[in-house]
Amino acid sequence: MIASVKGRVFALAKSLAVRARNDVFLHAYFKFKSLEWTDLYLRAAAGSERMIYICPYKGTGDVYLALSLLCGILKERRDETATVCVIGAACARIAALFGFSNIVSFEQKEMDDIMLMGTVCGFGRLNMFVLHADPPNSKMGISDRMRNYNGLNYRDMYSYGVFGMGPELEAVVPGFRPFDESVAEYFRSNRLKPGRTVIVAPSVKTLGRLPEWFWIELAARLGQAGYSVCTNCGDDEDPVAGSVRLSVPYGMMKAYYEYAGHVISSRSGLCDVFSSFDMCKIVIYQPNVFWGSSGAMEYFSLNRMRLCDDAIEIRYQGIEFLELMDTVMLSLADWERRNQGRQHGTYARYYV
Amino acid sequence: MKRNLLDSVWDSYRECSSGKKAYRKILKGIKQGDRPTIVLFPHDRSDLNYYGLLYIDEYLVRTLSRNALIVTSSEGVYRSAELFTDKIYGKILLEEKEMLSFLMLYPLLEPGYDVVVVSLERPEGRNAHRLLGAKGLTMEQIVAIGVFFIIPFRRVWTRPSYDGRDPCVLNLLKEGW
Repeated sequence: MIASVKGRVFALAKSLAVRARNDVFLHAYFKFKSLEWTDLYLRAAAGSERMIYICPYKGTGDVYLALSLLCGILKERRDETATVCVIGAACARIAALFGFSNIVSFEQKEMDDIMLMGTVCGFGRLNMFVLHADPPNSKMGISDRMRNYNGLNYRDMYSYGVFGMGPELEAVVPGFRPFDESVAEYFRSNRLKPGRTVIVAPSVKTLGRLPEWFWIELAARLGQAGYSVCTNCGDDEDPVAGSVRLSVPYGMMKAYYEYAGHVISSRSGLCDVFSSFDMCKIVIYQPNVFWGSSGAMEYFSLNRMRLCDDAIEIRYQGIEFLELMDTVMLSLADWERRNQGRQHGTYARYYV
Repeated sequence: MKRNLLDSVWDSYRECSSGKKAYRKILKGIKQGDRPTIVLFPHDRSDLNYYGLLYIDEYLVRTLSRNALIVTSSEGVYRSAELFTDKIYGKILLEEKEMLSFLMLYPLLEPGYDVVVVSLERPEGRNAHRLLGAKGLTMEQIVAIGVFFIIPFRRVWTRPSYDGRDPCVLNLLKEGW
């Protein structure tokens, strides 16, 4: 309520500041903003004079990709003490995964204000670098409109649009923690079969969600095919009926996922995180959503983005969820056939 | 650090204060009740301006707008706009400094008019110049798709004809030859 009133007062002050003939309101507006921005800026800088990297969008995939490419650059420049600003605790955990120690987490409203501060004062002058080609909260960008034109994909939008580099910019895989006995113990205690477990990940933020019954029925079919099933769950999410809850920190994901052996996921930021894992990765793309001139699969494909070359990527048609389920099961069987006898996954040697 | 921020804030304040004068100049060029699309050309870069003028007509069709008010600091744009479109509401020539000040104020504006800025790096926060040449993206594509948001995109093949000798106009038109 107070925030809403404050927002309206600010909007009115801004309108008066711009429209009034004299500069009294403009001066007052800047005076007030300078107080607010000083606090935000000092927090963002975290006491360091070094470059402040801003992740202005609260998306797991966006933060992962931006930092993965940033690490490719920082590795060359040997500046690993940079400050990274993100929105929320989940994005801060992604930043920590990449080994950044100066991480500052903001709320969405605060990040919007930081973007306004940079837009008004100049990002360069404030020693800030925005890790997004077209921050939605800046409203000044036009880069996102070029999506899919000339085959420009999600990764290109970062490598070209943010860093001004091309395919030569390496995406660094973060340092996931190694396998330990707790992983095997988790599998044992939940009766999950190492190498014969499918992790399903229905949760999405940007793209459309598949109906819940799809995941329930898929879990049942996987069970009939001899797999144990668990669901990747966020803090406030429930597992798909008939599956085991799996909620692990990003750092331990590789150990758990490769020990399981398979993942079936709607395309979400999680897919960027597991893209480098050595396992069966089936990724489902929503049809009929357009990102610039083409669809979501053209833009977000893990294989096209060169985050991996072994993801099985499926786009269903219309509401053909049953056909999709058949395709997923066939793809899974096909992957098993192709990988028969192969010790996949770094942790395969630990299989019981 | 704090000093750096406060210096930046008050520099921006001074710029915005000058920007208000340019804003009033622009508003003066619009009769009450009219709602033209305001198209700003802040740079004196011929390829950018050429495609900016070339796609105005298509933009007006897609946005159901009647006409455009051209605001520029480029003599070439000011003198050749009519060669590209007959849907010109008016033209305002600003000094480059005025234009830059206005663009500093721009993030604070909610003008109530449709405003298009024909630029790849202004206002602050726009970085489309980094995409120029990426996977073969051309200036024409970035202006049409990025600046004017003409999606789906189809090239405009018509080229303005001109038999005068104004060097400013000729310099701009050379992009289409």
